[in-house]
Amino acid sequence: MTELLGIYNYWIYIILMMIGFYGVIAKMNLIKQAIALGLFQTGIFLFYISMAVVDGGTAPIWTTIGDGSVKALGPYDNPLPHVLILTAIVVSVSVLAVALAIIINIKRAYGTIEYDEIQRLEGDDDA
Amino acid sequence: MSEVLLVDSVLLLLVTVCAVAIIEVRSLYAVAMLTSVYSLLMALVWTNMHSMDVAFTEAAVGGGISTILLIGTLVHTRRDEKPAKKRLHVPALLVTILTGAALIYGTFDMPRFGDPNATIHHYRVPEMMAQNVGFVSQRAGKQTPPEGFVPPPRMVPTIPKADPHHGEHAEAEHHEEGGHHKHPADDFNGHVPNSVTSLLAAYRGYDTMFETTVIFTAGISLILLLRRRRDDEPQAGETLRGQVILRVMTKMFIPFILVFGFYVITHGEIGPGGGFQGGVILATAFILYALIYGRNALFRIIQPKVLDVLAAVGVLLYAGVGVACLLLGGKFLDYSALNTASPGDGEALGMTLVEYGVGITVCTVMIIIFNQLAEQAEAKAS
Amino acid sequence: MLDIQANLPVLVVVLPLLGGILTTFTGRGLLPWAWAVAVTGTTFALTLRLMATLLESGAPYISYELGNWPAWWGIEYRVDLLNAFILLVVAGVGFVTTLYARLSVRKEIPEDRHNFFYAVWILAITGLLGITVTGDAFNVYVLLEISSLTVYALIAMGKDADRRALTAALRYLILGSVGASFILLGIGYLMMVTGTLNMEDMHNQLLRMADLNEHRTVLVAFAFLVVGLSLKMALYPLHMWLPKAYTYAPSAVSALLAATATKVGVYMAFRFLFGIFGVGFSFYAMPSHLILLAMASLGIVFSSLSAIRQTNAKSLLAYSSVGQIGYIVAGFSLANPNGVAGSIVHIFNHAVTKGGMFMALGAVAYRVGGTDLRDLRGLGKKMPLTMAALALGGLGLIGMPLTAGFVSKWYLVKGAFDAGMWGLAVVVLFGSLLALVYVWRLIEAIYFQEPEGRSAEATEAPLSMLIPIWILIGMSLYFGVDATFTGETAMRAANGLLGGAP
Repeated sequence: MTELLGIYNYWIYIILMMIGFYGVIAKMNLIKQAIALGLFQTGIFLFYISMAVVDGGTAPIWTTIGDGSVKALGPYDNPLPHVLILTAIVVSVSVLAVALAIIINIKRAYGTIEYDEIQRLEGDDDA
Repeated sequence: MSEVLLVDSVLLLLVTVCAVAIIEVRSLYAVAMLTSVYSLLMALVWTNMHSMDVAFTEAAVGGGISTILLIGTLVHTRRDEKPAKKRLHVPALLVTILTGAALIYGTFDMPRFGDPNATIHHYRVPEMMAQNVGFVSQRAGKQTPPEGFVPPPRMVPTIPKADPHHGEHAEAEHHEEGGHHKHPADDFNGHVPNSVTSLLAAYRGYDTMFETTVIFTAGISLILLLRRRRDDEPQAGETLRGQVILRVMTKMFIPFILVFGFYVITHGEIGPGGGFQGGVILATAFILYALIYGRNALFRIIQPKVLDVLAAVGVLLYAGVGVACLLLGGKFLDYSALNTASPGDGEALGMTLVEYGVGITVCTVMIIIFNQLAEQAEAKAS
Repeated sequence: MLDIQANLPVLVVVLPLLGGILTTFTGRGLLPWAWAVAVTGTTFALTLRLMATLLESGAPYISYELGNWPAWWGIEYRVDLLNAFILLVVAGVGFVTTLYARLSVRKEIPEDRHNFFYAVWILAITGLLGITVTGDAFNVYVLLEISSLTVYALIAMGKDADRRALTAALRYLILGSVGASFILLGIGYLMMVTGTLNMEDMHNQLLRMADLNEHRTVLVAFAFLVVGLSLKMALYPLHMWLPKAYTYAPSAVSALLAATATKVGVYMAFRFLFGIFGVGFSFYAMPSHLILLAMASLGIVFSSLSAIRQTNAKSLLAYSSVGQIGYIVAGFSLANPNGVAGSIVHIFNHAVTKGGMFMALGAVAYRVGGTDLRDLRGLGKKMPLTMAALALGGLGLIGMPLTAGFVSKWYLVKGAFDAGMWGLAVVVLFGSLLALVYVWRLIEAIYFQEPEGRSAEATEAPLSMLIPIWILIGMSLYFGVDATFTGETAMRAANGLLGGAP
């Protein structure tokens, strides 16, 4: 039982990821797809950050004490996943920006942002 | 059950509800607002897990920039999602359930949440946290260890599994390490108190350079895809000049936002924050100004061409520091080469410069992105 | 002063990075292109020198520690024979396609943003080079995102010629991001159990695990990395994004992508499967190699069948590319020296052949205005040199003797026999037969039909396009006759991989 308590936390992230993943596959609206992709990615970020947690730990920032020197008051959470996820968040917002730029262009070219309608219009292009 | 886990569970319940709502609600404006709420909840989750820098970034990016992006896009697409024929997409559901099941299967051999004995807390990270990587490895140019320094035994790569108390010992060990000296002889001439920054700008500084490049790439991709042919032509846009309260409040707020932005960029090594978060905050000041006074007013302060140049300047500053290190005989991004007399000061100088590089690029690219989206909106209105 | 020799591994990436960013300052006219040629040319020269340095030193690899932080903690660049070879391919093809791009880009991209276009173009090459040279798992992810993001934007730039470029770009963006997310997830699972991000360090950590083959976290990490990488390298049936992306991208972009992007995906698979997980885990602990072989074989057959049905020459070549990825994956899944060497050789051979062919089609688009099979009718008379290149490239796809395609298939079939997999040899031969059919459709249109409509007014492609086309096609012929360099390098690299060195 305690074992399950220890890892059920990861399951929530997996559920979150899968909500996003479902949106990416199932939704026809392109903006919805882009947002769902973001949800999927946050799920992964949560997984990374949660592996950084240490029981009783605190933010990995050392404290300046009276005489100006810095002192460590541990235990600290692991900063490595934090750094990786900072990078990944930046990447995900960049992808979102480019996706939205393409979606705007699609709206202009097709007059719709629903994938099934676009496919119908593309069928006409092919003919 | 630790309090982290408890708060976490409650927050994650809210987050999950929010995520389902984002997928299911059909009004896209509502979805944009919900994503903003989602991001703020996420920021709370991350604060709860003591990841201050990530929380800060999420609040700035998810709560701020992403929402602006989404609204900016919705202005010229459509407000509502078309009603779906079927409520539930069965194949998608099956795929997700299978994927999720596979992922859950993988969690069974994971160390439990918060386990201090997990490999990741012991294997390479302790030296990074204690910030003595440079002298453990006795690198030329990195600071030499103090006399009598014996590398602690845990630096020998072993995986502690048998001893359940190993973690606590290890932690205690390196606190003492830092506390002993007034200026512990580490790589930065005194610790960089925020370990996240030391990892971000020094140990993994090369990743961060490319992170900045990603942002820059997004900026020029938007220019490539969205900029209108004749960008020199002045465009009249709707403004909110008539709204006295907004106008006055904006003017009052902007100086504070700017000061705070610079503070966040400069103090990244002491507290949460850094170039990225600070850059986003700076950008919001400009975007706020453009929203209230119109983009033409913004262009009188800072021209689009200047923005294009500045976006490149930021990344060039970052990479330029790296090249400067090369020219001074060090390796790429070996900041200690910047000041051979006192390598620690060189490290500090390098880290400050690259943070500014990140800040400049992030700030200008955010304004460029806003600009391109707003330009589209106006083009549509006219 | 700058010590070029000692810093070669990092300069290969940093030079195009700086060059790419500076391209935004080059304004309009000819300058952006000229600058891009200079940057990619210098980069190519650097990769040549890197290869020479590696061969002269005789060392198994060159390691470069960024920021002078020790490799285990910081980020390491590690160049062995395999990535030096891939670097050569990417930088070389990148240079030649840049050389080629001038007229094609002038016709297809609005003039006022050429500087931004070439900036994104060079950054895409930078990303691909960066993935190839790094020895750090997370660095791979970051650079993968740079190369992907740039490629999405480049494909979308085909929007002025055909609006379907936009949906193709968005489709690739969504699927590519899902793939990248899977890779990120896999790296996360691995980092959790190994505690490190350096590839060699990860490999050693995994070897230290007594229960490696039963460790569920490692198994799931493996599965997700394989799926993510398959999406990125367009392995059947995860290739859905590729055909349209290649078809509707601007001509120069199609050539660059077809020659480099998926190849770097394959390279990542090499690094993850052989380098991090190790041959023993990846290919012997589970029947995963059988799954990969099955996917590859299905890919060879079905995508070749799809290629036969296409009416657009660019989509025909795109489907053929999916099939070629099948050969490459089949080769390394055999996990024996001949198979892996065949796979590595084919990365090079297919890059030059397909790059040259897409460039030839770009010349057709430039002169005729379209790349439908109808537009190719009778061009054998109108554009003899371009069409000869296209036809010779086609022969390479079939794997005719004296073309480079033959060399790779020779290795592959040998590898299949070594492994006792007769079935695969049959699939390879059957694939060649199907290739014969779709290449015949091209040749029939070019040489056995009369010019009609748009193609009647076409003239020979300008010299600035012909030279780059013939450089690549010429290489595919030269290395078909004399495969000493490619074959030996690939064989040594394959032995290095199978020896388990990351």
